[in-house]
Formats: sequence, C-alpha cells, structure tokens
Amino acid sequence: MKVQFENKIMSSLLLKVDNYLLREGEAFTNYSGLFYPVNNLYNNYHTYSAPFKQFVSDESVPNATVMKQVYVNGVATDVGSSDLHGINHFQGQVHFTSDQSSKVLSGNYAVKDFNIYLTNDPEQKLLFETKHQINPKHPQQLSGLAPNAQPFPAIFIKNMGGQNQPFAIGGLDNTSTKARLVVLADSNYKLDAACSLLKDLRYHRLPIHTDLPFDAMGSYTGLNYNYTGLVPEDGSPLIEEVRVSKMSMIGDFNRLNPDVFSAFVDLDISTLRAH
Amino acid sequence: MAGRINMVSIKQKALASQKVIRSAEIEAKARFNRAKAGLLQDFLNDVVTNEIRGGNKTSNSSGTLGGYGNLFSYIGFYEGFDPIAPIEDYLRNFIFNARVINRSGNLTVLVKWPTINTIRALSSMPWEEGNSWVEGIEGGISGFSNYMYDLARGSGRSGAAVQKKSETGVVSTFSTKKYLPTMLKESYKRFK
Repeated sequence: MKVQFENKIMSSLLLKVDNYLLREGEAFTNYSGLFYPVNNLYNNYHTYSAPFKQFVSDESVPNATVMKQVYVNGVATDVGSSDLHGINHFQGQVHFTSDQSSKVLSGNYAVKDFNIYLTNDPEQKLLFETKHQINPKHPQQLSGLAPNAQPFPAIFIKNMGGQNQPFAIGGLDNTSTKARLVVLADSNYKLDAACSLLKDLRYHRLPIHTDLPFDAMGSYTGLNYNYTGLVPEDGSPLIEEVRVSKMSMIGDFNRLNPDVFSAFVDLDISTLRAH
Repeated sequence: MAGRINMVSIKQKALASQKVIRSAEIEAKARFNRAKAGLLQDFLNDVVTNEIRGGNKTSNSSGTLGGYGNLFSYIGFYEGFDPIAPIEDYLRNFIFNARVINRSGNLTVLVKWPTINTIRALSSMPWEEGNSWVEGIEGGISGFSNYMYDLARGSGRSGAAVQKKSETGVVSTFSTKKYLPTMLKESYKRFK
C-alpha cells in the first residue's frame, strides 16, 4: 500500500519532536566508545552495536557529534570504504559487508537524552508491562545493545485517531489528528524538562517530510541528514493543542518500573487538505 | 413652513435612552434564560450524563463501550465521586452578564456564555489530569484510565471495568459521541 497521510504525519511528528528536543533542549551527550558484534540482522551484512541507542543523526543540532566515520583498529574509515556499508544512528549500529570481529571498532557520537519511537502498544504496556532498560551512564560496557532493545529515557509516539470535518466549499477538510507522546524518564528533572519543551510545541507547524537520506536499513550511507534543510511537502499541519498529564499518582502501581518517571503529552494536530 | 426631520439623529437619541437599553437587556436576559435552561436540560438528560451519574454499577446505556461495563469505570472515576456535579453547578449558576453597545445607530448586546475552557478545567480525568473527559466523549478516550481504575481497585484487568473480552473474544473499544461541546455550540447558535 502507498504511504498515506496518517503515515506521513506520524513519521514527520517523530522527526519534529526529535529535532525540537535536541536543538532547543540540547538533549544529547557526546561520547566516544566501542562497538560490539550483535546478531546479524541482514543477510550479507555484519552488524556491530554500541552500548547506547539512539545516536544523533541530525546535522542541524549544534554541538552534537554526528557520527560519519568508524575507527577500525584506530583508523578512521568513511562509509563506503573498507567494507563499511552504513551507520544506523537510530539503532546505534554500524553495518559492514565483511566480518570485523577480530578488529577493534569505535566511534564518536552523540547519544540522545530521549530516544524517540513510534508505537502502537497500549500505554499500560509501556508503563507497567515492559521492563525498560536504561541507557547506560557511561560507555564502558562489554556488549552492544540488542537490536530489539528500546532503552529509556524515551518518548513513544502513538496515533490516537482523529476525524475529518468540512472546512470550506470545494472539498477542503480539516483533518484532525490526535497523537499521544508517552514520556518515560529516569528522573523527575528530565521529565519536567521534556514536558516543558513539548508543551511549547503549541502552535508550531509540523512540516511533512517523506524524503529522507537514509537507505532501506535506515542507515547513513554518505548523505547528510539536516532537519532544517529538508524541503517539506505543501501544507504544513498545525499543532493546535498540547496537554500534559503527569503520572505522579501511579507510584504505588509502578510494579515493574519503580524508577520510571512518566507523563502523557497529548497533541491535537490540524491539517487543511483536499482529498 | 417646511422642515427636515433628521431620522438618524432621532434613532441615535432613542437608542441612547436608558429605557431602550433596559428593554434590550430584558429581551437578552429572557433569551439567555431560555437558552441556558435548554442547555442544562440537554446536558442533564443526555444518556452519557445519566450513565456517568449512575456510577460504577450501571450499564453502558450510551453504547460508547459496545455495551460492556460503563463510562464511570472506563474513565476511572473514584467511587462516590459525582463528575457531573461541578459542571451542573457551573451551568446552573452561570449568571446573566451583558453589555449593551450603541455604535453608529446599532444596538449590540454582548452576553457572556459558558465556555468550553471552564468546562475543560472542571472535567479533568482522574488518571490523565491534562485531559477532559467531557471532550474525550466527543474526541476519544484511551483505555489507560480504565486500566488504572482496575489497578486501584485491585481487581486486575477486568472487574467492573470495561476493557474485557466479550464471549466472542472481541475487546470492546470506545466509540465517540456528540456531547456537551456540541451542545454548547448549538445552544450558542440558538441564542444568537
């Protein structure tokens, strides 16, 4: 099936939230560290993972180290050379076309303070039924993160539905989209900071982007990703309303995740469109 | 002896008289009271209002949950709490407040009307205080509050709650319904 409006708006929201937190909140930390072999995800590719995910891939974030090279036995290697196929910032992984397990792989990268994911899981599953693994505080780990791990602090973006309402003669509708951001933080300070930033998204435009410079695996292959440099599609939706609900009262029920500080940020997004 | 009658001046003077202003206020107040009574009646007689007022033992007469459970426990209200009361008080005690403006030969009566912003503040959801259950009836309510209600009652994922499996294994979901926000808009239109 072709990409539909709802697909576009949710993926664009992910990009917007990611960029806004990184740029306005400087929500990242620069690190240097090693990569470790993990289960290969793709045929004919060898995958190596950092102890962290997600890395910053956005060139528009000031002072963030966007990883574009991997050090193989201390030698800086560009993507496309020495069997280095790509760097997957979202997963904190590098992909080689040959086995590199006898070599020492390392890199310089910025790790996001809040990972961003799209999800369909119910809120209670995210809050209570999933044991979240925290991103480590330092890079001296002995293994890479499993490919399916979703460490926190994190923001899970969920589509909560919406509706079309007639707006103008000629078939113009106001498409209302509701999105919920489930914010999971490791401290109350970070939770407040994230909620404060997200609250400020009210009346922000949400540019629709569909053309990203990553390959099918989501990897950087030499083309830079710069959020502010992307050319959006026509007709930017508007974030009309932002409501924050802090989960301060659920401490008693925090069975699996006693150290998770959580909040819901609900967004009402309005788009005028003919369809 | 012929003379000219300045109708504009007469109209301006008439509209500026206290008697005319008072009459306009009385007419506006009568309309306001009718509209307010209608709004209050619509709200109190609505199937959603009655279901919520029925507490956690009532059935899902509004049909918003596919007939399972009830809105009171789905939204997660605490037992004994009457979520309708603050809104009813607000609407019932909303006083007539008007300002008459005489501008270039036209008399305009500006009347304050209950606002959705105040109702939003009076209808916070117990487990998601940023969201309003009144708006949620029209826009959608996730099952999270229901889950929390169950958890707080110590009854696991079902109990009196709604998000349980039917005999056919289908999990009931929330269907939106026109409610107070629409009533407010419609009553405002009628009042105008």
